[in-house]
Amino acid sequence: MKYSVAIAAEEAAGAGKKALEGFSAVHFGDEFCQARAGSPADLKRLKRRFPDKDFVWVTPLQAGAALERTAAGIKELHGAGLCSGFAVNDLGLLKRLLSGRDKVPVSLGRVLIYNLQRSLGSPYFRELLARAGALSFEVDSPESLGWLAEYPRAGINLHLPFGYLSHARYCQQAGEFTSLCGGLAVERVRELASPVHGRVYLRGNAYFTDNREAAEKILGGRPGRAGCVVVPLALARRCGGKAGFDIRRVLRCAALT
Amino acid sequence: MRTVVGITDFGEAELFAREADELYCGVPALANHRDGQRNLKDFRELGRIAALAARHGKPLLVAANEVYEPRAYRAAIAGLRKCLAAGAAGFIVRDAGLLREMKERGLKTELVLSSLALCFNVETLKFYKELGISRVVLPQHLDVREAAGILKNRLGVKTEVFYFPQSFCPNMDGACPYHTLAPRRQQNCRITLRSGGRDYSMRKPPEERMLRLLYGYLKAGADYLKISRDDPEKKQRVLSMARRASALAAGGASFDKFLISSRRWGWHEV
Repeated sequence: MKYSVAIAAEEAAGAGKKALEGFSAVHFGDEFCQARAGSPADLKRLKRRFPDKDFVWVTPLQAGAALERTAAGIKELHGAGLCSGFAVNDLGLLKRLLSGRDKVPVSLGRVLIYNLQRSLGSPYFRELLARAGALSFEVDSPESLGWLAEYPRAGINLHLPFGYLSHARYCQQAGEFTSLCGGLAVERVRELASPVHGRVYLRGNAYFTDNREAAEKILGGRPGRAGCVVVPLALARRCGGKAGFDIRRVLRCAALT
Repeated sequence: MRTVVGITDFGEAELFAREADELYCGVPALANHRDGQRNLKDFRELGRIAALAARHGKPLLVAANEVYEPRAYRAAIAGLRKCLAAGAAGFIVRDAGLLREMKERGLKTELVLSSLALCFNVETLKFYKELGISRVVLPQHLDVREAAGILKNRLGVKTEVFYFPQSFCPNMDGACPYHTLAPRRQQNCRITLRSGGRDYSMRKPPEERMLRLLYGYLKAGADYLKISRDDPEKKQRVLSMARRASALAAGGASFDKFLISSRRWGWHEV
């Protein structure tokens, strides 16, 4: 089992060596917020500090001209061999990456998977995704894993302890679209209590649930396909130690915020 | 700007066939993004409405804008053919796998890409254009400045926007499970949550922001203005406001005038 720590752009400065002990990879960026995704320059700076880690650049939906900037950034990072993969949540960006001559290693993000759902099992998507240099998926529930049954050889990056619930591009916290806000909603995870669904976690423009029970099923149950577990930086700090990162501490952690 | 109104039965079709430029509806045989109560009863009712719309020279589209099981594509295509036989002019769709299947089976008709497909850029538009779409409904969470490329696309794809005061989900419809949760009172976006001893609600943008967005899209030349199937009792009023808003923007009114007029019409009450 491989471990990766998820670091959003604004957290990069606070990522110390100690926190990353026990992790072989970094998921840099954000799947939901354009302001948090960071730039290739941000990623390069972090890579210089952690040259021994594999890097995955994580990108959200691409509104308008953002796609061209992100595609150029991926080309640059891939060309320089700085990333082992690119997590993509935008269908247009995916199409662009799969149409190029370079075989870019692509990981389908949680928003894109939730948007495409069972159509990922169609002949159309099977043919399309066969063009990827290496294919993996960002997963956080048995439901999403179920939509990927046609890709038994693809890599699975399992996100813990927060499962995606929903998100907004018009960010309530920032009072603006995420491409225009300048990262106003940068803050720690906030816990909300839902009378119907229990605990809901808000981070910037995205809502999550505690997915540890579901994740344990994926890790230990018959699917058992997760090759990599991805945890947020805050929990990486709290659940690491001299002996390195311990996933059992994440699974037992009482307060996630 | 042309108006598109969602209808739920023959009675509504009679009301809107004259006033709207285009109608759309759902049928039970084709999965779409509204609960069953918003669907017509059957293909027979669809046929009656299509005939009525045709008498007024108005096209009738059918919503098939959910993701289908690939093994159900054959049945879905049979349903689509039945709709065309009943007089439908085309479909609102989102499933790329189904679109490819339709293309391969030679089912040619007008195809409108649902906002649920999350088309946020020209590259995504090209992706779906290759699968046969001729119009796109822009996602609600896309600012008009970001949509410039899509609005001015050279692919020949027409654009459609929601009348935002009526339709604006707090979260990203198309990548949000709340919509499909039933009953509606169980959706987090419709109930009050608590955070640090305070109430917290998932909110859509403030009224002025939504109006600014609508104004921007009307000025930028979106081709169609959509009024959803929801709120049957308010829909006539919504359509009247949508048409007035469209005329105001087309007439060169400033945003301040647009805002004042919209408030006077009571747009926030819908």
